[in-house]
Amino acid sequence: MSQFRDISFKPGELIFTSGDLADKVYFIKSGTVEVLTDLGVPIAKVSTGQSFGEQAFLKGGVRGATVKALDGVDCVVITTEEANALLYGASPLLVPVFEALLLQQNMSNELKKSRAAGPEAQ
Amino acid sequence: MIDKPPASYLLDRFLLAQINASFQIEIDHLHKLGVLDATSYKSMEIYESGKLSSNERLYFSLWACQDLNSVAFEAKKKILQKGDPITSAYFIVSGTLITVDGDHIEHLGPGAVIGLAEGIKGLPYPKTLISACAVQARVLPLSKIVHLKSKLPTVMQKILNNMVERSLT
Repeated sequence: MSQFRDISFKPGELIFTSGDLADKVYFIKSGTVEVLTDLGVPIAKVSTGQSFGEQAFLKGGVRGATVKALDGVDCVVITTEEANALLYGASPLLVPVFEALLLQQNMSNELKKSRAAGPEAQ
Repeated sequence: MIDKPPASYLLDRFLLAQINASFQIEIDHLHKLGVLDATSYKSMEIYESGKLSSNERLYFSLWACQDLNSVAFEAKKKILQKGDPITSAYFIVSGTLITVDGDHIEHLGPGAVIGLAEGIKGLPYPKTLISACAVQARVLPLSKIVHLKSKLPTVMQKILNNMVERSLT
């Protein structure tokens, strides 16, 4: 993981806020972060060995949620430019693969919401 | 051996049944904004303007991608049977598909991604997939993707695995 920069956050520190430019992807080496809605409602926790902020794989996007450190968090941080250079360098095919995975993830979430809303909502 | 129902039978069931869930990018909204194709300067300008939602931006980027081959499916064709191994995943550019899993029926339109997370993880397709009308799609070749994944730095492989797991839960 040495080719990427390490970054640490203190307990309670805001990592990014909904509406910020999405320009970095984070991989948690240790610790836990909390994902919150625009209204500050916690919706998920992400811990050691997991990643967050993947919408930054698509250049020019904005954050759809706020993330803050729950405890001391050590991350590897990858900028959009670094990720795209790395993916293009390995194969141009990998760029649409990461984008399509983001879209499949969003689709999966929307289908879950759609199922929960029931047939009347279709 | 039990005969599998033909696509036309499943499609008739779909037309009579309630849809349990659906997903699609609103293409009309893109058209209203002026995004009529994937390659013009005007479309690119709108893409860069910040007027598109996150899913619309992903749709546009994949639609415009020159590195993916295209495929067309005729209407009323069974594309994948539940339990089939997945050799190619698809990004849907236009048209409508249905997925059938027992009594559970879902409607997938433009912007749907079919079988990518499952294929990367080596899982069979979990539903039966049928084209409700003519469908245009981009092909994501899985054996090549899995090979390329192994060449990525460990942290990128872990991030990709995280995205796969989130797509499947």
